[in-house]
Amino acid sequence: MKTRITDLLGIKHPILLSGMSWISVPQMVATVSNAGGLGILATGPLDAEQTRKAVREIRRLTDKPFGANASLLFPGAAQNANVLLEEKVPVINFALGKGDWIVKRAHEYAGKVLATVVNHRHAKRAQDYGTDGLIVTGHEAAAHGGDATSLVLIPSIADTVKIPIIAAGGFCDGRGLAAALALGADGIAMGTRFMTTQESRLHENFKKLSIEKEVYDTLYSDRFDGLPCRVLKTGAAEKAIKRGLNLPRAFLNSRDIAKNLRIPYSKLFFGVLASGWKTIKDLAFMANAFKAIQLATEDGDNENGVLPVGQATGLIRDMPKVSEVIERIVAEAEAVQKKMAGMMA
Amino acid sequence: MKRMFQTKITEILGIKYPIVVGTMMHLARAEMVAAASNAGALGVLSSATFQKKEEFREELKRLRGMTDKPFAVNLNLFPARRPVDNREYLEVLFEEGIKIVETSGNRAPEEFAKDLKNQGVTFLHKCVGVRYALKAQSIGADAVTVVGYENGGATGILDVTTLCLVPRVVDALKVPVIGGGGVTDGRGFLALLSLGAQGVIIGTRVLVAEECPIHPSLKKAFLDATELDTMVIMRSIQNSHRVWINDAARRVAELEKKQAALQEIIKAATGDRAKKMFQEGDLNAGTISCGQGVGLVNKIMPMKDIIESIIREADDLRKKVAAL
Repeated sequence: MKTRITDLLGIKHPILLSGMSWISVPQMVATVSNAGGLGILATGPLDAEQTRKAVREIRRLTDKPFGANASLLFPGAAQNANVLLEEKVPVINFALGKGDWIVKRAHEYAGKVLATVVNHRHAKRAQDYGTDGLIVTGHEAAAHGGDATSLVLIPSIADTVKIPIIAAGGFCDGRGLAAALALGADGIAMGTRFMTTQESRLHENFKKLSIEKEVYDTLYSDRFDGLPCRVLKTGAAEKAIKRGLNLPRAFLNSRDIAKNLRIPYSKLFFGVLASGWKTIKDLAFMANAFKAIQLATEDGDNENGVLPVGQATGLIRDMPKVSEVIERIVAEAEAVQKKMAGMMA
Repeated sequence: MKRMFQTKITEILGIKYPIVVGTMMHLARAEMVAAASNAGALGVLSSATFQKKEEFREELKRLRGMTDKPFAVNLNLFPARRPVDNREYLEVLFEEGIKIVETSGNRAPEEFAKDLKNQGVTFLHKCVGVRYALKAQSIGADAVTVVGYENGGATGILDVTTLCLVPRVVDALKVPVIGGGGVTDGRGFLALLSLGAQGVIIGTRVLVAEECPIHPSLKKAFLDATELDTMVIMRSIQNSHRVWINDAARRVAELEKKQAALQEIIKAATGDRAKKMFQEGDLNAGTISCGQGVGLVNKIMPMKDIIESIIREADDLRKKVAAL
């Protein structure tokens, strides 16, 4: 299957691994790229030095194209993006901010840049400053989808931009890939599907939950990390959303973040204090969410862990290998075309 | 056009294209329904629009005079401000020999499913979740229609989008599935068939059909609207509906926030002001069901052209995707 995305990124199949904190780690990224898709490293939980190490590890594990993300709202994201540029990472995927400077510098070494967007304004802006492609995220997606669903948002944005589109949110099988191509996308990005694979680092407790849960077993609220965010519906998630912003907890968790990111705590603390209430609130929310997601993905903590997943979790019934996921999606999407041809008298 | 996209749905309903033009309160009268059926889709008459049994019978006769193609009649099981007695409508349906009935509501019509089957009526049930779809199948529905979160009108409370709901229901049912919510053109049509639906249901797209009896200024507003110009109201009273955002919709949301009385909310949402809106073009008089697909609606066309353009676009796309 050849599309504008396989051409642009130099990959075999138009299937991307979304950058998920603690899940899209070097070994997982390389596995997806080796299977003919494009793995995207999640740099959210990493500091600059760790990011550089992760990129180099991916290069040891694969000679295929790969990507890395930078959620520009996170503390430390710009430093990480700088590392990605210095390391000449083939594909950089930025989100939640303006990535014009990333585009400019990536193009100097013929790197490609993808912007994750949920609306027209950001899609157009990204195209205007030269972004190579878009990851358009619908309402059903894990974490930060907007209100518009993939079925509506993808064709709507495809009507107004020229650059290729990768559809994200609700895609997990060959029917979904066929649907995405019908809607005007050139490929799909998947998180929820890839997190429940044999090679995924997601804790077994949550892999099991993801298989058991239904399409309606997610929660979508802005009371988890401060932005509208979709997570797996569990007791812990319900509790976190009911609680909303908890400043004392954020204070404690922010110490962990500082340690994780190796920022001196006083620097993080006073930096945040100086940035005004809105930013304090955003970062405090995020500090708690960060912790809860880590507890779910790494420790499998059912009591306090919260896992972002998409509604597609209800369509996932098994735990195959990554290569099997990709091969079966492509085969199924091709079978859909044959079935469709058979509907013509 | 030649026969295209022949599915189990075209087969059991005897229609040319696997498209159902969703019923709409006050709007799906004989003219709209005949236009849809004559275009090769399935038009669905809204029985709840008619307060009296005899008015309803008259409308059926008018409709029969306008088309010799298959059409369906919808029986509304939702809680309404003026609840209707569906038994009365059923009597008329059977007397008039209606062949296809669509029911829609928060529950499956267990009380008269048997009668429908005994009368040889093809029976479709429209719902918003896997459980409801299974229930409908178990009481004998010949096909089940499911619509997702983005759908205009009733959306349910589960908020599952069409993209995830349709394949889930397809996997769960033996009877064919008609999918909808967010489908307005050939792209959405082909996407739904790719997901395993045997047919699609459209609604918002035909709000701007030439035949749709709403005021031109309302149509113009829909052409200008984006996918973010709709909202869900009446969630607090377990009657979630997606509507176009206007003053009336905002008023309902306010009332819900204040936890106003049930009747007050329903009155603000469904009151008789719809007529003022539809006929006189007062854009803020009442609420109107509208899906997120309104963002993709940008041209007023006759019903026939809408249906044919969907099929043509889907066929072109199908070839393009197959060649990748």
